[in-house]
Amino acid sequence: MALERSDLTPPGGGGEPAERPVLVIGAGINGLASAAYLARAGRRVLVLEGRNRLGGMAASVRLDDGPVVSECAHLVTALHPDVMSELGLYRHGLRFSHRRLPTMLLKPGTTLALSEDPWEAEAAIAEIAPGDARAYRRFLELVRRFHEALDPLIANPPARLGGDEAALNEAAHLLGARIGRVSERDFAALATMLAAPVAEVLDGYFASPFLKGGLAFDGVIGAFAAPSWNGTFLSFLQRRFASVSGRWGACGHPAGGLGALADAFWNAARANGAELRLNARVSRIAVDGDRVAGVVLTTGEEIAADIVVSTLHPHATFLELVGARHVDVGFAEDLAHLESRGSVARLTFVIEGLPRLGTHQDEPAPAGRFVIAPDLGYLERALTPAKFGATPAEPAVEFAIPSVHDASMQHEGRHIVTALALHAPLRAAETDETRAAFADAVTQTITRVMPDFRRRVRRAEVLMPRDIEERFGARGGHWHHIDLVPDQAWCLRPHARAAAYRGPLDGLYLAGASSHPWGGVSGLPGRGAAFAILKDRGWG
Amino acid sequence: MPEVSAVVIGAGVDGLVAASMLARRGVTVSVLEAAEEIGGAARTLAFHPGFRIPLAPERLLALRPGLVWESGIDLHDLTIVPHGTSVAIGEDGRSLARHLDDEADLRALAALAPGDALRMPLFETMLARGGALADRLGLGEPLGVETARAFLKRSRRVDAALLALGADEAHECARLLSGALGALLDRHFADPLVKAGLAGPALLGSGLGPMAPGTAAGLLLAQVGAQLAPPRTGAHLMGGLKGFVEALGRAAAAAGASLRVNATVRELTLKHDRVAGVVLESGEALPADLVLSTLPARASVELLEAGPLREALLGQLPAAEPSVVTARAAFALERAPRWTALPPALHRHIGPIQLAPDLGGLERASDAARAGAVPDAPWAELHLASALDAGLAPPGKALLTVTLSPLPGALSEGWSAEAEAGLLDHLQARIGAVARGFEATIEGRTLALGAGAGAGSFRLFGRGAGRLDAGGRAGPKNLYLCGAADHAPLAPLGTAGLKAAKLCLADLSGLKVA
Ligand SMILES: Cc1cc2nc3c(=O)[nH]c(=O)nc-3n(C[C@H](O)[C@H](O)[C@H](O)COP(=O)(O)OP(=O)(O)OC[C@H]3O[C@@H](n4cnc5c(N)ncnc54)[C@H](O)[C@@H]3O)c2cc1C
Ligand SMILES: Cc1cc2nc3c(=O)[nH]c(=O)nc-3n(C[C@H](O)[C@H](O)[C@H](O)COP(=O)(O)OP(=O)(O)OC[C@H]3O[C@@H](n4cnc5c(N)ncnc54)[C@H](O)[C@@H]3O)c2cc1C
Repeated sequence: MALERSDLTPPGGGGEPAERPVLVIGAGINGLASAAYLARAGRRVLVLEGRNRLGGMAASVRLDDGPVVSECAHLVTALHPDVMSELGLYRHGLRFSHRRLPTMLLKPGTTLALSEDPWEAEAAIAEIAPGDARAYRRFLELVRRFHEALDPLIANPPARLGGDEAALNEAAHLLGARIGRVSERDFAALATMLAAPVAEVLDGYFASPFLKGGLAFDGVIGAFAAPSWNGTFLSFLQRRFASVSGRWGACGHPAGGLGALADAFWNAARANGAELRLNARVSRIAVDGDRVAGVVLTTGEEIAADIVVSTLHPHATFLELVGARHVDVGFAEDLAHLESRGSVARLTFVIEGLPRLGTHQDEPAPAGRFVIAPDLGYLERALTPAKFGATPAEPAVEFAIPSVHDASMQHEGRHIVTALALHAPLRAAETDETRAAFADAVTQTITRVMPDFRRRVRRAEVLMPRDIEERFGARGGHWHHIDLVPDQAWCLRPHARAAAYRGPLDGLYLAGASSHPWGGVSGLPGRGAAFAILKDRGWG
Repeated sequence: MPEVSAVVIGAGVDGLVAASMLARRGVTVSVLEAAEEIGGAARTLAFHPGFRIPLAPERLLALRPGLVWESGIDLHDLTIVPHGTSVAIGEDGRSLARHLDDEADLRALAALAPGDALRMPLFETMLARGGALADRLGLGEPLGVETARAFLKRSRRVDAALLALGADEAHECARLLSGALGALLDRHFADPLVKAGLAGPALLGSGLGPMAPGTAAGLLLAQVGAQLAPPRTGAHLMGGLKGFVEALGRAAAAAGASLRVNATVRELTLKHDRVAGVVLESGEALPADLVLSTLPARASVELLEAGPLREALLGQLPAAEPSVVTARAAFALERAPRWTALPPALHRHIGPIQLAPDLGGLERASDAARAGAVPDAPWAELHLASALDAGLAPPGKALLTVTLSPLPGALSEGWSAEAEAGLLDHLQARIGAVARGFEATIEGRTLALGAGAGAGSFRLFGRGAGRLDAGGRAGPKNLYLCGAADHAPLAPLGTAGLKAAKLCLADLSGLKVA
């Protein structure tokens, strides 16, 4: 991997000579996406990453003398199709070991496979809850129509409040144009559901507690929220908009884990001359009056720049790197109160051989995304202890066995299980005991649906939210860096004064998970920030 | 308008508001009430000999002036007395009195928490601004989804409102309208009791804890009714809500509506997917062009004539039982209590007095109730109701009413005498801790569970569209929902009825509802 190039001539021949590179802080998915879009447009880009590898929370790591596995994020749910095609990610080496993992809802005695084929899914639902089978189709149809109506809002920059009349009118126009095409009844549904609790929406469609619990899981994963909380339906939609197979509801797994996805983004950037420095931690963003002047690394090295893109949490960007004295008091105060409570723990299990589902004792577990969230109340109860720093006795769990389809992860007959567990508390500190206790609760939960799981476990590793914060720098270990809730969405994301990828300082852009539209590996915040820069500079 | 007949099911606040509005516009209205008197949740019930207990509380949180004139109530019929002082007592025994008078209020705050006293005026200004915006966007009357499109089409109005606000204020309003109450209070105040005193009333009826998004909007409810009742302390409606429904009943009758008590609706008959009329328990059938039901959506659907439409709708409506409820307790007392835990000037305070758990306590209480358990210390608000309403207790004696929230919804299905006694014992002890000698003066006590208090948090386009066919459902076009149970929690008293009546009138005249 090219880390540094001494040759500083502008790539692509686009810019004027000695153009100063755009600096991108953070080589997570969004930093890399931003770099790839800027490089593709002929700009010089230098990505600065504090860790010794790229990918951020979507990285892969080698287990001690074992295989390489995803380090944090483990499945691709919503990678935006425009990003895939515009950056040519397949051309740049992206390969999926599985592109259409079905979601399998599990509880003791029952397995419900929701494959991406609606007919198959319907048939499976009909076996456990006949009345819900047709409702499922209606529900999918609703989500599809919502997606169609909302995609332009998601993939385009949000409006900026406070004076930017042109942008606001543009956004209103876009909204109006979309709304003009939505039927009266859909609009009604959209309006009531957009900020609704996922539980309320599901209650309106389904009777089966099991199906509702499993679907609601996607509304609360990554959020410090219960399914009865407002905004969780938006969270649900966000997980379900755009799948790598082009069909709703399926997940993908890149061969080599999520780090391979980051590699593809980086390859797309590098192909156009972008540069990357690892182990380059930014300690300060230099400011000259009301514009950025460059960055200073922890080593003391200064790098001058006219444009800096930060993919970090806004608290880190403005209060730690820029410094509160360079921003307005009210804005600084708001950021100081911006709470990020991560609530997802990441677990990796090395297991001996393949476990069996309790319901299918005669065959090894198939490829899939397994979800343990047997009803809505289970998800409600999983949040309660986390509010006060305790762990739930019965966490809700999403897990996969990537080694089933990704041979690179099999190692001497051993398989890999990657799991995300909710709701893990954000505590001041974790110890080996607290981690082990939580791993045990998760093991127990999985063992309830895979009776031979516990005895196969050879090793378990846990990253609690605080561990995730320490390792990846994401404040609170938060999936979306900051909550995805209505008052922090669209033109308010991450804050009305820092929306649409631009903050109060000239030349400083925001591109991380806390920018529009949300976290995950869609690549959209990175793309949005790059487009904002190209537009502002007239580089389009 | 051609001759049109409407049946309103239920003579509670909302049914009477709707009846009055329709009758005033020339619709022939019959209100059918199952109980032997009108009032619904606003009735008072006989309790210990000589005592009566109002079912719904007497603290007026929010009543829109618009509701009063649109339903034709004679304002002289209502006596609204602002509370001069409202008190919160924390779990640690500290107390904070909030006063109607600005100077007295700041002094009391400064004595407890000087930093918070400095921030309070800004906070109240922010609330007033939020309340004004809420009013401008029409939130006091929750936006029905069917007007949402029109609302967005008229986006100029919203644009203008947002542009005029600027980024900071727009964000502040967004936080108020959709954010979590706890986070909002944490960013303004430091003292747990200051926060607790604001949080309890704002959460009332939502069943949620302060961590849930959408709960901050509860603070705006009082703002929406600010013209009649001061947001900081609230007001007392003389005669309680009972006085209010009586005034409403008179207004409806004066407008020509007929009110029938002891008339329980048993079934709604259908004809081509429209409601054709109602059948009473007695077997009597009444045809109707329009039917307005104040029962919750599911209960309304259960009244429909058996058939595919009823089945389909039942399949789509969530189970009826509310997850949490608000309850009323009442104590018949030999004499008025002395609030010995309060400063001497407040020893004879008549209310309201909150027994206010801090934010964590409120969150825990909500978690417990939602999980089906009785919380250790639910939020409680005490009123010496008899001091303002002499009819509630015999001369010389006193009635103390308590609003308790939240309690598990499962309780409304019935619960054991021991469980009830346990809850009352516990409450009695909590009150005894702030009013020495209180327990010795108790002559009788009771606990009544309120209806499901519309649990949920506020949303711009919330539930309660006034129609059954919201959110993709297909329902009879001439059946309107006008009960509070299905309405957005930010709706002030009577809004559901007002809203449904407006929808009916718009449908009748083909005009759009503003
Ligand atoms: C437990 C967990 C599981 C998840 N699972 C999934 C999943 O299965 N599927 C999915 O789609 N999404 C998942 N997500 C969400 C997803 O991983 C993130 O939203 C996404 O990776 C964020 O990308 P980013 O580029 O915005 O930020 P990050 O990935 O946080 O990248 C920021 C980068 O900046 C670097 N950095 C920080 N400070 C500095 C500094 N001062 N100087 C230089 N560099 C710095 C960091 O090292 C990091 O590399 C998960 C999140 C969590 C917490
Ligand atoms: C404990 C509690 C505290 C509250 N606190 C406040 C407060 O502080 N401030 C405030 O503004 N509001 C408060 N409220 C809310 C307020 O009391 C209600 O919103 C309001 O009274 C509801 O009026 P309604 O007409 O919608 O329903 P209801 O008053 O419930 O009326 C429904 C009526 O329908 C009748 N009925 C039922 N079935 C049939 C049938 N089949 N046929 C005919 N009739 C039928 C019933 O007998 C009843 O009279 C509180 C409510 C409760 C329970």
